[in-house]
Amino acid sequence: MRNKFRKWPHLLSWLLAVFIFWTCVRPVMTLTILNQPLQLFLFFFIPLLLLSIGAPFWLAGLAGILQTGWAIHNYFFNDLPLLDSQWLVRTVRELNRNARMVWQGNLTGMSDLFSAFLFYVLLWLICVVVWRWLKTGRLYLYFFLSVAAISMVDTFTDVKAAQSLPFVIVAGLLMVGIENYSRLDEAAGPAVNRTGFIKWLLIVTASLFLILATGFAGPKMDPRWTSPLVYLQNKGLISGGLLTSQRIGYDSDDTRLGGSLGMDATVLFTARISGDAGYWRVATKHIYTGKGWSAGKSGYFVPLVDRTQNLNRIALYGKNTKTTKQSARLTFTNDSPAILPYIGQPASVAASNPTLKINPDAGQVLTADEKPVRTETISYLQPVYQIPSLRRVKGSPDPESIRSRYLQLPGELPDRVRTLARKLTAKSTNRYDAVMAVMNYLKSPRFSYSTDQVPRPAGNQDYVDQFLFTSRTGYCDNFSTSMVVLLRSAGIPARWVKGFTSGEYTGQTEARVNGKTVPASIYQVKNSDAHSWADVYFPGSGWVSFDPTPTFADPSVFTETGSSGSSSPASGRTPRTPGASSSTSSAQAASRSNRTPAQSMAPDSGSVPQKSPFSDHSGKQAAAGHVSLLPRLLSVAAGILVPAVLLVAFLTRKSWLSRLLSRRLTRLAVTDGVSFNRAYARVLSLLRLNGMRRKDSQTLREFAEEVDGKISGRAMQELTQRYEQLIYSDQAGLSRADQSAIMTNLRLIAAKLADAPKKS
Amino acid sequence: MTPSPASHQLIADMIDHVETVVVGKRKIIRLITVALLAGGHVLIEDIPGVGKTVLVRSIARSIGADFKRIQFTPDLLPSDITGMSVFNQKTGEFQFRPGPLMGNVVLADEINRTSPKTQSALLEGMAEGRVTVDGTTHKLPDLFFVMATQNPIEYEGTYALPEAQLDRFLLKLSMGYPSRADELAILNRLSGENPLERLQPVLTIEQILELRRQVREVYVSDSMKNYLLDIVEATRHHPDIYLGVSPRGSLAFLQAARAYAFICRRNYTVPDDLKEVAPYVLGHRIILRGDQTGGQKAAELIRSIIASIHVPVRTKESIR
Repeated sequence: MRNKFRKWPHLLSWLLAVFIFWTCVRPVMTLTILNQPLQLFLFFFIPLLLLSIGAPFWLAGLAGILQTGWAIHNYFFNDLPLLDSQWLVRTVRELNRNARMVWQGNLTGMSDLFSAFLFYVLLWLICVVVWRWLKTGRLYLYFFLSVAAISMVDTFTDVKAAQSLPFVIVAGLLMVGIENYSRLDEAAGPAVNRTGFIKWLLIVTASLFLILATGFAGPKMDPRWTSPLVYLQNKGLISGGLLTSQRIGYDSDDTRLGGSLGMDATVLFTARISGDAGYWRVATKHIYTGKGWSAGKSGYFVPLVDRTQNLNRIALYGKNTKTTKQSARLTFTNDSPAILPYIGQPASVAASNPTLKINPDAGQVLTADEKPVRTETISYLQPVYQIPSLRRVKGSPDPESIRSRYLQLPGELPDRVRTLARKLTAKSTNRYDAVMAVMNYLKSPRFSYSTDQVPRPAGNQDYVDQFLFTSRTGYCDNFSTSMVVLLRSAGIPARWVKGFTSGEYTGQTEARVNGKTVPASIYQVKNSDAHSWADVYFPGSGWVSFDPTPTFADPSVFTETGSSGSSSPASGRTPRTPGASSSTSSAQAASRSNRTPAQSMAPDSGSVPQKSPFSDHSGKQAAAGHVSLLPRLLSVAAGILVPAVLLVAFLTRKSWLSRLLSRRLTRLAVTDGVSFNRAYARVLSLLRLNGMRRKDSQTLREFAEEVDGKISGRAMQELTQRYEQLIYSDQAGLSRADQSAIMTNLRLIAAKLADAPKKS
Repeated sequence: MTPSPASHQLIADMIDHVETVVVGKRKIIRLITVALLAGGHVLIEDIPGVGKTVLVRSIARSIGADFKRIQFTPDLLPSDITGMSVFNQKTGEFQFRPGPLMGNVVLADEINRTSPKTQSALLEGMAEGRVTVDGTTHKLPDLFFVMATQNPIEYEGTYALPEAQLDRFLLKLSMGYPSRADELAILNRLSGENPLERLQPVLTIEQILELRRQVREVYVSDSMKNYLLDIVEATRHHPDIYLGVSPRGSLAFLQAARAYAFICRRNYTVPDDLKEVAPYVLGHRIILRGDQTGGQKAAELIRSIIASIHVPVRTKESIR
């Protein structure tokens, strides 16, 4: 192994092995939240490299531990500095809690952090195993298991891994071929023949090409058994998609909009809110495909810890937007989606399901297991947009992260859409006016609102183009999409938001905000309240919602000045919901708007009105865990370390057992037949550990000759001769000379075996 | 009994001595010595001209004993080898005139060239240690060692020895072609004066009889006996073997292993002794199924059988 890098065929096959490893690991990025390629690659590459260049085991282990820490920080505690001990303590507490849960058999309750941690431990162990395979030349096994792994991933998950299969097969066969050459080469002689290797490589490549060409050219039968998954599902053995990447419970596919809309009055949830009526957010999408909206390569989740942690990943408002703190409590019906809708900008979210996660890309809060919940309690910030600061935005002073993401438009977008956008915004001197111009254009009588007789774009027709110039009839999706596309065409960052309108006002109740009892309104949200609108980015103010659909109006509050009265700027904006009348709620908002955002953002303000019994319980547990952290830490460490140590001990058993045995051998005193017999048995096991095993039909003498040939010398033969005398002759005694000769030979053999592995 | 270094030295001397004449055949010489010490006889089978006769003669000359040679021909009669009663006109009586079989070391050259009648006279003498001529039984000398040679049976003008009678010979050996280097040495050594003529005896009859007594005392442990029986039994159950090794074969096997251990300067046998002699002791004692013939095949088969049998390695509890 040590001279691996001196031989470039070895290096080549090693690189191929790394490639195969990478191909096998890659689906992890689509299947899980661990979606950063460099991190994943380095995680297995560094320990593998360290082990391959002969670095000690603990170093590879350390690399694994450090990288696990780095990854956990990156995925789960991104908002804390890396060198902060706080996230480490939290991680340990989380691991401890989960380890206890697993210990109690509650496997479903595992958090993402814990699964990620287990995944990294597993990946590291696989890394060690792969290294052993490479070292001992079990390449066929490695190759076969890789292909099997990829096939499994392709069959049982959504990931289409089959395309990478030919590459893995080519790389694997090439690797095996190269390794075979090295083996032949080592058997033939020490000199590495460069031209010989190149010839070999050519032959291997040519046969590979032949195999591939035959494979691709040959007729392909349809599978007899379409998919084991379908079969299992039909048999009722598994329900739903096993291992499918269940992302979003709420109709996630918006890539093809259009067509008529069915109205469905099923009640989804009832909300008691202390603030004004507002739109309920479910998801934002940023990629316009020409037919609809896509969230891109979504599926990256961060856990929502302690009800507040990581909520800043879906923050909406900048410092120029004034906010007031409000609370809402939602009660879901059986038909509710698995996503927790929120209003305003959530400051803390709790649900009857204790583990929640956040999808920062889509701005979603959802349960970790993506199952519906019964209740949700939010404390949120209700915005009051400051029109003067919105008007101050001129040109395009947006940060690059916003520009790169929210100005996307498909290349096939017809030019007349861009021309229209330029024409609409030409007179506007600032961004707010431009947005209003576009919105008013869409709200103008040119376009009519209808939920039926809405055509779908056919062929390569563009969805927005069709609406703006051909059909001019549509519902919220047409209006909101057109608005976003027009704004983007005019260079204004915008995104598409889907969710629900504020719902139907059904009554009045009371809620507690900041320890005070305040009046709260009850709203009932139905399936037919589903809606979509536009989010426009204003530097300093953050995301501002605009609803371009005629007869709809976002009840968000805009004020002309920071301190005095507020008014709805758009003349046509009347609240659809009768309860939340604009005038009263605006007054409420104004009276609260002078509270500083920092104050209301404080997570420990005790704003959550009602804790669910479950969350209360877990809170106590966490507190208890903090008190006696050390013993639990130890138990977690033991739970992880003991299996790991055992595994490492098992993998390295040959070297340490051999060392142990030879040490005992050198200390052994051979005085009689019994002790000699024991010593000889030990020599045999020591030899076995060093790869020299006596065949059953081999006599001791033949075996001794073979051993001496390998370790050079005659020690084993001399020892064996005396042993033969002991077991085959009729004299049992050992003379003093015999004893000392035996001990000398024992030590010689032990010493030679201890040297041998270092030489090879 | 401790091994006597003097006896071992005698054997080593003899083997070295023969090697001055016969090139590159140390193993065969050792095996012939095994037969001599075990009190058995040797059959050497090979194509003409590879040095069978030279080998046998040089061994015979190394022993200071009465050496007789019989060249077997198709017209040889049993009385030609055992001897016959001749009427003595002076005494008026029949007088026994011993034949060449009455020597200590008898070289029976090309025994498969003579008629089965004559062959059986020789084989009877080897088995019984006595010959009967005209109703009178004549005892053969105490040291009676037959080394027979034969050409492989597929050559013309030969009478195959019955397979069942082959086990009168303790060992059946085959010489094979010498290696190139050995053949070069033969060319160099034998082109001038024949070294065979200069060979002097190194062993006396009494010495050989004493060595034979010592060989009989070589210790064979129970595990070794069981190992021997494992091998023998395997020949009896092997699918390719029509007739396995007989109990007489087992006895011969044991004796040969003892002698082999003895010439290896040991007074106890180890599994290697059995392994070493097995193909030569057992090869001609089995009859293969079907049309497989020839000693080489049988010896190969014996080797493959041995390779499948567990060697006894005593465990802890049986150590005294």
